[in-house]
Amino acid sequence: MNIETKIRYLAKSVYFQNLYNSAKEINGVHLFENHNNFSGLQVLFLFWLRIYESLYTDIGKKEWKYLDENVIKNDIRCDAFLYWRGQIYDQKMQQYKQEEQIGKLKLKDKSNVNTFNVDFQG
Amino acid sequence: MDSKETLNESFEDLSKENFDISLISDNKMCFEANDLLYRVRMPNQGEQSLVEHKRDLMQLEYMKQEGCITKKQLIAQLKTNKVIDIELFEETKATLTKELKKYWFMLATKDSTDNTRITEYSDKIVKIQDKLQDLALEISTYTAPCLENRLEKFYVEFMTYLCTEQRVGEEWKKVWNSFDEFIQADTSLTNKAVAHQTWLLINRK
Repeated sequence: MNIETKIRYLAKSVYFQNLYNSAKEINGVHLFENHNNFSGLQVLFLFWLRIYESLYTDIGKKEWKYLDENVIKNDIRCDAFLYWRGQIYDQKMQQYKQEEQIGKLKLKDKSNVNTFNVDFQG
Repeated sequence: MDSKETLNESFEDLSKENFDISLISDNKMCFEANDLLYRVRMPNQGEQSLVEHKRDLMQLEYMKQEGCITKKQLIAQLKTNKVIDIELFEETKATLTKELKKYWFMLATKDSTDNTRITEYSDKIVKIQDKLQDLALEISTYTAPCLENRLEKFYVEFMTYLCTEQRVGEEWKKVWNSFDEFIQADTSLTNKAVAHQTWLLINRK
């Protein structure tokens, strides 16, 4: 088992997820012996802690049809899900930006937009 | 069950799996070589500055040497001399990455009960990732002599020389007194130390 797999195993464990949440809420609870000058492995571990925390939260909220505990257990499926979720988020963000831009323009009919509808004279 | 009990129980689960928490418990990494215990540690600010200064000096030194070549120049030369086309390798990497994303997308939208498809797509993903790894390794082998890679190698080696310690009794003592001593040391120890130091520094530069 390679080092990153080991790091991910630790990050998704109930023990470290609980410790991570406690450390965020309670002053004096620390994840590491050192409080600064983190190693690259520790930074990687923190990254995966955050990722798995978001996945457990999404499972709790039943946010995604295809996300369950089995996805979290399997690193390949987990990578696939994270990529797919990222794509969905990007799409939503793009849609939001487009809608926001349309909202800023003075249009006669906002539901059916093309360049002829824009009042460039303002 | 209170939260402390839950924590203790989940910690026992981890221990049962025999997982090495020492990987992340502090900013050091232990390893064994020739039946002796060693560790590499993160550099302090002074050591970090020293390594960067030494790397800058080494860059000037390398640039004076005959045959010093940048990555860009080396890639062009490898292509001209018909040794290998790195750009073609990069294109293959891009195609494989596209393919990987396609299978990620397909796998992500499979229900956990669909074992056949999950296995099929997972196997394809592993194969693509192996190919990508082989390509990266091949590219790095061919570009090893370039200035950038030599400096990178020097940086990690100098850091390893500074930050490797050996367990002697109850104390941790620096292994090498000079960089020359490190260069001339047993490679079975130095290679292991460099590998561990590289892991420790991953994502940090």
